[in-house]
Amino acid sequence: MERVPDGVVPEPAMGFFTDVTLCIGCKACEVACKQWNQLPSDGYALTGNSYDNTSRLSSTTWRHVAFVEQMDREVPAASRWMMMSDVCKHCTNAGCLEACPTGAIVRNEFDDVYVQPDVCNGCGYCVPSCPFGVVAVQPQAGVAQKCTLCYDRQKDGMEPACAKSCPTDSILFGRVDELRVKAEARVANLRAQGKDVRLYGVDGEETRDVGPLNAFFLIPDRPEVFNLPPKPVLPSKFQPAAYTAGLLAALAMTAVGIGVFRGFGERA
Amino acid sequence: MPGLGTLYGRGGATTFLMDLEHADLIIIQGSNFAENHPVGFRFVTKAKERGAKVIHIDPRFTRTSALADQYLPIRSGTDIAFTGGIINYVLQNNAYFEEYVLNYTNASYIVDERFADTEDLEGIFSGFDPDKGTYDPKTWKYELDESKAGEASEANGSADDAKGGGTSAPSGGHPEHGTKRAKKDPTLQHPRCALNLMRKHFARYTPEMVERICGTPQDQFLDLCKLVVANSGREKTMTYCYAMGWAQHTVGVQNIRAAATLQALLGNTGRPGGGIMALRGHASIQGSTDIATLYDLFPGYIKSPSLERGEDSFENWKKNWANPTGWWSNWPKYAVSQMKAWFGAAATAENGWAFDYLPKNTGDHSHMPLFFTMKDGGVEGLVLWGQNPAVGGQNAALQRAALGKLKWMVCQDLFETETAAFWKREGVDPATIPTEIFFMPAAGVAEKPGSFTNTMRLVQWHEKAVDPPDDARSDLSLAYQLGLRLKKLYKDSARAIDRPILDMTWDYESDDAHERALGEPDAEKVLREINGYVVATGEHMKTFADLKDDGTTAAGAWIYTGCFPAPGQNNTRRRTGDGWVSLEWAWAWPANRRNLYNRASADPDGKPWSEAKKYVWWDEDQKKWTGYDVPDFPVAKPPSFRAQPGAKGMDAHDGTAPFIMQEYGVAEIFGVQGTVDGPFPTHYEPRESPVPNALYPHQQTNPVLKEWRRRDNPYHAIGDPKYPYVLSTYRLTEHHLTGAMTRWNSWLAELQPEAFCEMSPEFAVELGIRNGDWVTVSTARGEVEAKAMVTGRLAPFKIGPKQWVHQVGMPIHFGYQGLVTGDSANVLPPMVADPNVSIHEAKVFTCNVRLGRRGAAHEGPTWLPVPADEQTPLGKPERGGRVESGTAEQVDNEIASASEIMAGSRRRHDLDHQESEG
Amino acid sequence: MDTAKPSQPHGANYSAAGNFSPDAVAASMQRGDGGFGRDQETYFDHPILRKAHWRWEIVTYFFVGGAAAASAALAAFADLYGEEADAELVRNGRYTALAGSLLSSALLVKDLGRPERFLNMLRIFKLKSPMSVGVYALVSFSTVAGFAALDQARADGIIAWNPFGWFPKRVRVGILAVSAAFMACYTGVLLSATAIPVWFTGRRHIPPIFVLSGVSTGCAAQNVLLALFGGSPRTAKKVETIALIASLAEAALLLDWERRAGDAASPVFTGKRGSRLKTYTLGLGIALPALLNLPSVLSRKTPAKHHRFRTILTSSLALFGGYVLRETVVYAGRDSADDPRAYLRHPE
Ligand SMILES: Nc1nc2c(c(=O)[nH]1)N[C@H]1C(S)=C(S)[C@@H](COP(=O)(O)OP(=O)(O)OC[C@H]3O[C@@H](n4cnc5c(=O)[nH]c(N)nc54)[C@H](O)[C@@H]3O)O[C@H]1N2
Ligand SMILES: Nc1nc2c(c(=O)[nH]1)N[C@H]1C(S)=C(S)[C@@H](COP(=O)(O)OP(=O)(O)OC[C@H]3O[C@@H](n4cnc5c(=O)[nH]c(N)nc54)[C@H](O)[C@@H]3O)O[C@H]1N2
Ligand code: SF4
Ligand code: SF4
Ligand code: SF4
Ligand code: SF4
Ligand code: SF4
Ligand SMILES: [Mo]
Repeated sequence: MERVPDGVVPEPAMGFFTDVTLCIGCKACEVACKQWNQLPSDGYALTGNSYDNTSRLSSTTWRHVAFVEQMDREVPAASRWMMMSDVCKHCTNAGCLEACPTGAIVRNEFDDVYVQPDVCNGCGYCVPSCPFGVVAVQPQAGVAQKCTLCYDRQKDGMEPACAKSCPTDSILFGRVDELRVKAEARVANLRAQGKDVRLYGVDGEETRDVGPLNAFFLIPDRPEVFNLPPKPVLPSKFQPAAYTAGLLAALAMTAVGIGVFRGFGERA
Repeated sequence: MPGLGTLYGRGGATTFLMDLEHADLIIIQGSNFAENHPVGFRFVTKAKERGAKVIHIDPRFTRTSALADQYLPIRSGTDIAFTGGIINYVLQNNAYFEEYVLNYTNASYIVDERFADTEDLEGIFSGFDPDKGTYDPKTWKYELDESKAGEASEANGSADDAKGGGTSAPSGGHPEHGTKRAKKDPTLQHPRCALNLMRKHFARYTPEMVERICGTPQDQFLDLCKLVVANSGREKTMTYCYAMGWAQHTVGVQNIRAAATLQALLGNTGRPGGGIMALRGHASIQGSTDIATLYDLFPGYIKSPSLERGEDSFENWKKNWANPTGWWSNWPKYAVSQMKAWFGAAATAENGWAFDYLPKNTGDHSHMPLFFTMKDGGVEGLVLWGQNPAVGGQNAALQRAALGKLKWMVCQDLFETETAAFWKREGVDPATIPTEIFFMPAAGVAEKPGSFTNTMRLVQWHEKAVDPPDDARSDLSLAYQLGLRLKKLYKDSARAIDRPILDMTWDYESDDAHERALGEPDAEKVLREINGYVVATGEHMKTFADLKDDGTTAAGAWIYTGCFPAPGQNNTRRRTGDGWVSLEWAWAWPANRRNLYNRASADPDGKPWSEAKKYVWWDEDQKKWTGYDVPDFPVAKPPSFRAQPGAKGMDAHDGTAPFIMQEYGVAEIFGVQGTVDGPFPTHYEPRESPVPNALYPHQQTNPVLKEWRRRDNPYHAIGDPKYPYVLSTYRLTEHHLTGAMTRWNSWLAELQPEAFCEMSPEFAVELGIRNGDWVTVSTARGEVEAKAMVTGRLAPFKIGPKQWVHQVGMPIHFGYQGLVTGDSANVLPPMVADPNVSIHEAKVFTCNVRLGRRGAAHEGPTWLPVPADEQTPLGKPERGGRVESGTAEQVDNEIASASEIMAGSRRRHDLDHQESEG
Repeated sequence: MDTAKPSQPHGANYSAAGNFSPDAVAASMQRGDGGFGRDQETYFDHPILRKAHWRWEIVTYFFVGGAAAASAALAAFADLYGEEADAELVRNGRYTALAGSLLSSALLVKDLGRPERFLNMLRIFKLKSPMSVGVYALVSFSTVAGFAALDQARADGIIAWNPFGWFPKRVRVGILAVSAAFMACYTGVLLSATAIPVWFTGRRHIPPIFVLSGVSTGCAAQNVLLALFGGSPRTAKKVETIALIASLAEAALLLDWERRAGDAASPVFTGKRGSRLKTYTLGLGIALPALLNLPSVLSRKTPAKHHRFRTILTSSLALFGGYVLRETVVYAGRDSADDPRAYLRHPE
């Protein structure tokens, strides 16, 4: 179940390249996603955190635009305000997918990580297993929800709603291999202009466990500034140690149990 | 936009959005481009990717600043000082584009010796009448060369200040000049040539002065000046982008003129990657000025007849507008065709093309005077088509109160707006409101076909996708049905006064049975009338060049002629783009030209200025103008053409004159026409300012601004200690204007759910305000509450060695209807206006801020009725804003004491605050 | 930068004045460094990770599951290696194991919301998913625990015939051993194999601690039953001995976890939660019972009769301590997920 469902011809991996340096924080992507997927609003309250009033990805917010203000009074020219449109990373090694006990989370023919809502049972185990804090169980529906990478639109040959609505092409959708080429060129271009930028999710430290991300980013600051983990972990890699330690204890206690019952028997 | 019209000839953006990609430098000033025109901003990011530099100049660091290469802070209301500073830098360093300036502008034209500059008269130009509070611009003209006089005599002796003012119509010409030619000095040595007058006018706009007035650090400003010069000339071009941050001022038009002047000096207009990109507002606001919602304009920028100008017959009307030289010599063709389109066979040469059917203007009926009159009981009924003045109008409490004086109101809208629901707002007893309200649900964009004319004059057709729900109908349907029913009601009338209704052409019935059943007319039939047709055959007009003044052609709006050149060929439906000029994408007026004045992209000989900036040029082999765009020039007129003395119409222009709408075909950097507040832009402080005018201590404000001194519209004094801070109002990307279309939408409402007031951390610390606290912002007009948004994106302005001005800001989007609600910022500003276009000054006025929530009665004194003897709107500032005594030193002292007062009031605040908390 | 408390994901929250609290700004202006907004460590202190929704149902399930597994194991040891006198333990153990496994399933279903959702997990088996492994452990454990209970019921004369009596006992015990071991340890793995720092950094400790706590609480439960329903004091002493060893080992591992993980485990060991854990699990749940039971365990004599009061007291304390342990570890995961710095500081 982890791989492509039967009878489906795998297509080249499709994904997103989201360039923070081009994002104007218009949130068109966030709204387009909600509209296409008919997701409810998250409530009406001002957070006071820059212009971000939806705060983070959630079961009802599958694109989220983060606003990072870095104003500098000493060197005004160094001031900046960065906007970053976050989304499910569609990891190569997806913690959510590995953790899912029902097989609801699959990798579809576009190499994207997709939650099948009719299979998911809302156990919620994928939630703490996502190293990016993306997937969440939607309380009303009782199933896990996150970006589908517009599986429905892709099947009809359409671009995902968020990318389609992005006015500045901060979100580029396409074949991941081609997007990487574009991204490298963009990095080179920006570096030539003296800008300190990096890719997140192509081959950096962050991909060590989770592998390259089908939705990757160009960021001009440290990842954590945008709520991205610098070193996301892949939960399944902790299993060997955990099982070993746990089963050793069980084994030891078996020995103790047998020992005690036998020992008493002998003494008797 | 007379700011552009007076300089270049047409009141529209000179260029198109895709062309921004070809700029080397993009200056965005007075616009929050990224937030308010996000789709257009795509071309700015594309230019950036190509290596262009982007500069944003704004009082706040916005999402536009975030994407800019450089951000420069500017105190609200001081842009003329800023742009004037750049002009001064360019002139001082002789960095202007000499060949362009000499040939394509009036720089070398010699100005009448009676003309006196603000430098001579301490802040006012010659011709000021302090009693009337207006200028007589008769000295703002060229010295005429008697020897080259043609046969025409001076047509119209008295210059008339109302003409050309008021709107963004392509301004009329200079009948008083007749066909005499102006004197010129091509050596630019004459002290009274326009360029040298300009040198003198801007000489004191030094970097020090800019810092002092605008609060922009000198070094940053100088860097910008250098960048501007380095990115203009033969090989490079720069574009200016502006919007309401320039327009919404009592010097709004001159803000724009300043930039237009600079672009003319640097030779950037009419060239690829150059010009001025006016970023317009509502989806089709350009369209609604073209076809025409302004009270004094007919479609196609034909000024409606005004009795104030003596336009009581077709002949008298024509006399005022049909110029002997230049493009406007065609005026009669356009006016007559329009009357034929409206009244068909009833419009004849004998009856002055049914001139008597037309309503005549008798005064200023723009929005603000209208609402004053309404408040005083002078308006019985109001039909509101998609407007929400209870939130969008200045001094909103007054406007809300005015609505309550109506007998009836018809409101066609998508939602029950604050205006439709004004009678049930907070603190009002509905029983006291006599107004009867008819709410007509409107069809949304996708529920009706029609056209949008966007910010770059591009007319784009959109189809209907679904039927409107329930009883909702298109606006066109309401107008159409109203017409039909009026015709029916009057069908047996024999009275002359009812003839216009009976004779008006009204043949828009849909051929589609389903649409007919809905009561919807055929929108394309309306477009056909706008485009025009041959009266006898019904054949569609192909170009406005074919329009006639003999009644054989009809066209609703000559500038749109050509958009629908044949049945079944609606050019506005076209959607083929090429990534740049895209002539096959929809259709732009005039004549599908995208970059206006594009003859200026070639040198006087008709050759491109450079290979890099090639656009439109003279093809010697084919003997015609050609290029990437539709040439904005008579196609066959060679560069070598020279006008003969006494020539008329377009023959009066040389083959080197790119600004074809202007009298001499050149850009008028010395404004001989159009603007009512002076031929050069001049820095004045806003109507309400915490500081005196550092440039002209005797002249605080624009001397001819429009104001209404009434007790329900009180103004704050200069440096009023009760209102020590500057407030600016603006938009957020997440909402649209009064919020009707966004605060009812949960997906948008959640993104900006509450009204807030942005302030700098420095300010917040002084007032003890924490991020997210409730604050109350107050003016003499009322008070509103909002959450504090403390952000380093705002900073105090340093305007002197120790003097600071604090500026705070509020979005305009909130009101008492919708999913999310909040106080409307517009309760705060006064009604005061630019004298040219009557636009309000929402971008800058003074206020006070205190911690805590407001009281119950927050709408202020504007509520109260005004005694009859005070009701006449005055419209002109007292003493023209003159300040009796005033020297540079005094200004220093006043600024210093103003700062002190500010500090003092802050202290008082703290006390107040403690008391109220205790 | 001002380190305000973590913000709520949604809803009004102004802590992230964070960057611009008056104090922070005033301080910054005083220092004259001007950069009040720079060098953020986090995004408005918002969590990077998302916490599991687990509440009392899961805590109880972990607790009951562990105890049931240990009870089944005790019954099996007693059956295979014990004496006549241990028959009471065999009976109690078998019944409690079944009851516990049924209760466990009920709790899981309660957590999922609808019974049929449980079945979704039986569509596939996935070794990589501890949740999947655990479900199969629970199912197989319940099944064999059921067989054992049926055996017992027949022996007790409650039923006349055991329909599954043909099932070879060896196989049954084998399955029981494996599934009980997994039952006891998978809950720890389930937590450890997540992205939550306090859990994955505790991966070498949580599973064995859960196993040991399962044993000690299982023993405690059996001891109470023995005391109440007249089991032999000899059996009780055996169970006490096992409990003592398990709980001391558990305590040792807890202390080792705290020492090794330090900061990473702070949601477990510090603050209110930490003191609760130390008081009720380490102190009253382990140390006190150990102290009280030690003399009897060490004494060479077999007591003639039950010390009912002591047994019930120490067992109750141990049971409660075991519950607090599960609760602490599960809920510490929420704090850990909510604290972005935890993830940044302890990427592994
Ligand atoms: N999302 C969205 N887009 C819109 C609209 C909307 O409501 N929402 N409205 C549409 C309409 S109708 C219009 S008219 C346009 C308006 O478009 P804009 O003019 O861009 O709109 P504003 O936000 O009112 O003002 C722009 C900027 O001017 C700055 N400003 C204030 N005072 C001054 C000043 O004195 N000098 C300078 N240089 N800058 C100043 C403000 O800080 C603000 O950032 O937007 C259109 N687009
Ligand atoms: N303080 C301050 N005040 C300002 C400004 C500012 O910057 N500061 N900006 C000014 C500017 S630039 C503008 S343009 C005005 C805008 O002021 P308004 O035009 O009054 O504001 P809108 O919210 O755009 O109102 C448009 C209405 O049209 C409705 N509508 C939308 N589509 C249709 C349709 O197809 N048919 C009909 N019948 N109705 C429709 C909407 O629901 C909405 O109620 O505000 C001005 N006021
Ligand atoms: S980001 Fe999280 S939810 Fe998305 S694929 Fe990766 S692990 Fe799954
Ligand atoms: S909540 Fe749904 S998707 Fe997530 S692990 Fe459980 S079954 Fe799988
Ligand atoms: S790809 Fe589709 S589901 Fe995913 S964020 Fe974009 S619009 Fe939403
Ligand atoms: S649509 Fe594009 S530019 Fe707008 S917020 Fe999303 S990513 Fe940024
Ligand atoms: S709302 Fe419409 S007009 Fe405004 S930017 Fe978006 S697409 Fe353009
Ligand atoms: Mo506007």
